[in-house]
Amino acid sequence: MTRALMESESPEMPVESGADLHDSGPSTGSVSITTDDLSSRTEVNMTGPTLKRTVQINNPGGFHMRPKAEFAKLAAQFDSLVKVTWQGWHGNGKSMWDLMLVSAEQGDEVTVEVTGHDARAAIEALTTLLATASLSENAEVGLAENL
Amino acid sequence: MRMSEFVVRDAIISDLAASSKEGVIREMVQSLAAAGHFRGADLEDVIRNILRREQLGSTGIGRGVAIPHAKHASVERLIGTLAVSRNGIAFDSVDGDPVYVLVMLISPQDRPGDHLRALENVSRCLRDDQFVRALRAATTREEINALLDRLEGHSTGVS
Repeated sequence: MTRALMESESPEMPVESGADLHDSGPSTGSVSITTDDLSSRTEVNMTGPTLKRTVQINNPGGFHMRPKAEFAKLAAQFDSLVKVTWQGWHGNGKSMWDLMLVSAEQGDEVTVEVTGHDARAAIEALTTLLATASLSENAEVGLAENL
Repeated sequence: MRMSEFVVRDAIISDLAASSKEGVIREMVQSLAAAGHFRGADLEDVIRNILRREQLGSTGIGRGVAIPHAKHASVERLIGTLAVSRNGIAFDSVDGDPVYVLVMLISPQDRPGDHLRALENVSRCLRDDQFVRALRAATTREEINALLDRLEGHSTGVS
């Protein structure tokens, strides 16, 4: 069961084109990078809203390694930047190595913050995954002593 | 739970003989048994649990390292061991690369917090490329022991 304790959204910034390296501000999530190459120009634009949601971990085993791997894999499917915060620490939600440092136990709160054009889809999918990772590893392998 | 505390020093393997995933897991658990940690039927059961966990998803998290683990009723406290493969093991890792350094953890059933924190500690240590390189360069158990001691400032190990 998901408990969304806090959700916030910041407005979408307009798309900008041009040759300058542009930073729209500290928390807007709009980054425009242009490489000025004589033969071609590429503009990478990660414009989109920033959505943040806090989820309580329900699994008795806590946020263990298997859901971390699933989270990282799911996060990587989105273009949005994904940031995970737990007890003052924050890291990249697409990095298994970063997630391994999140030893969130049952009852702990984990905040997911996503920025990008697919932020809405990303925040839904990722927080649902976090909240429903309810099976312990042992239950899944069907060990008799855990049933 | 720190790696330098829960690694059973006598079970460290500086040069794994096995060349397959199942082979090295078996070799590491047998090493723990030889150091006095599992009896008879428990040995096969622990191996089975670890292999089943691997089937759910490889613990090869990339950069040449793996953290095979399981919970088992026969252990009263979290124990583990560390092993190095010279030639690398195909481990179905997330980055597709072979695994050279393995840290195995076996936890009691009822302490999820300790288990999580131990995995965190192991990851923190293995994230350090210099430490991993040093492990791979070590040729004896004693050298690996010394690396573990230096890592977290411990001067005594678990045997």
